[in-house]
Amino acid sequence: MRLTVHLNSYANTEVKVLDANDMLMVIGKDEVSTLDKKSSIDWFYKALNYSTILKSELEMEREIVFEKVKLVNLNVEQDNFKMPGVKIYPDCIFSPHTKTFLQFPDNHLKQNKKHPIKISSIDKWVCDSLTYDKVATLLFKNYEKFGKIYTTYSLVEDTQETAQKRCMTESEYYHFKMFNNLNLKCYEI
Amino acid sequence: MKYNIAIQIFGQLRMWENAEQYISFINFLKTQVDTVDVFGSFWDDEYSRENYNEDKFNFFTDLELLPIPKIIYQGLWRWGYCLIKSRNLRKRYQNKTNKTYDFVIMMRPDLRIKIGEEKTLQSFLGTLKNKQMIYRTWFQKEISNSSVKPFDVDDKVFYATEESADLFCLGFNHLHNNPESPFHSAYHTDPVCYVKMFNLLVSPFNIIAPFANFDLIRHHYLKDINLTTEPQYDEELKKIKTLDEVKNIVKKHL
Repeated sequence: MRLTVHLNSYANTEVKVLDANDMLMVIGKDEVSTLDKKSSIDWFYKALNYSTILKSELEMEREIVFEKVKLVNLNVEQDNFKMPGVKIYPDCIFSPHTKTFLQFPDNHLKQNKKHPIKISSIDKWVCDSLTYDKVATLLFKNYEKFGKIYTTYSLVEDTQETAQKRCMTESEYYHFKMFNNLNLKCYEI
Repeated sequence: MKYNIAIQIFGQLRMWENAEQYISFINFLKTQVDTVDVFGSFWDDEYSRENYNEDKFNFFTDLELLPIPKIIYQGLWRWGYCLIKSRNLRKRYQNKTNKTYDFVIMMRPDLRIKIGEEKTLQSFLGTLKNKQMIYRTWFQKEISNSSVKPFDVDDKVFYATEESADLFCLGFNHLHNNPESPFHSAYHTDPVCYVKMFNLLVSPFNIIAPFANFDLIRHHYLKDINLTTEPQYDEELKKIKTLDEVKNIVKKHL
């Protein structure tokens, strides 16, 4: 069984069975209030985190974890990609939108071009159940603490836009550090 | 510094006539922190209901009595089931109140708690903030590699940062409800599987944060009457709910 999670602050929370292999969970404004939230990113982390409650309860009820879990933040993205047909192993995140970064922008000798830093979009991705729990428990309080702009990492490739010469944003740096902490690897679909 | 602590008390309710120990422990924590919220997830059985009707959970922030599942598996399955439920109870409260925690304590309800010094708690909380720990858990003792069982640990009490507690509790599903899990459940090894699957860091709190020590009330009583080794009737003792029943069984066998 596969699960699709939609975060949508304009909708209400619901869980429905789509067919024999798929379930849909929408996390909406009725369960995760949009009031008192500092920003849309704050709501995103709250809703993402809240989804782990419903997901874990479903897994306990069914006595089996979901084989694949897809997340789409409908507030900023569209659900326009399919889950990979192949088996997804733990600690791997797949996304149709990834960005590639290189360290040491001014020193070509030190740049690791064979293994650049890849970060998937936090708004649309798919992974196995264990990895979903890792990503979905990232907290906004840490984003406030650790999100910083680091000049040592510069963008060299973007699957959606033309790569512009720029540093890692606060959000990208936060994901990079937290994914590193949890040993998560990002891949492009 | 402001600190918020959450305590998850979970599992089979036993020895709740000694609930004052938990109240004293909470009051001890309150000497150094701003808020201590207590969450309880226990099986919905006669003993839990009796205590509920006698208002013995009045210091809990939120409580749930869980319907006993039709099929109960061996080992720490029941322990893990209640643990994940207590996590979700806490998370629902956090979602409602917008509250975050600096520290989460997960513990059984049948413990004898020996409280230490306030300054030890103060210095531990200071380290927690200064070192900006994220994915850190504390077990009562070091993980034992000397046992025949792989990574045998104590299941009484666990400390964790909020992030770590959130993940640690979810370990139940990935161990017991995942047929492809590379981890194997064995008695007293589940907590180690939980930290390994999420790459959490572990330290022993009896060395690093000895502001309290925990023992089972049952074990403490046996030690008190000089029954130092596990008696043959330990299995019988595990099934009972009150200290008086423990005393009766010991008397019968002595």
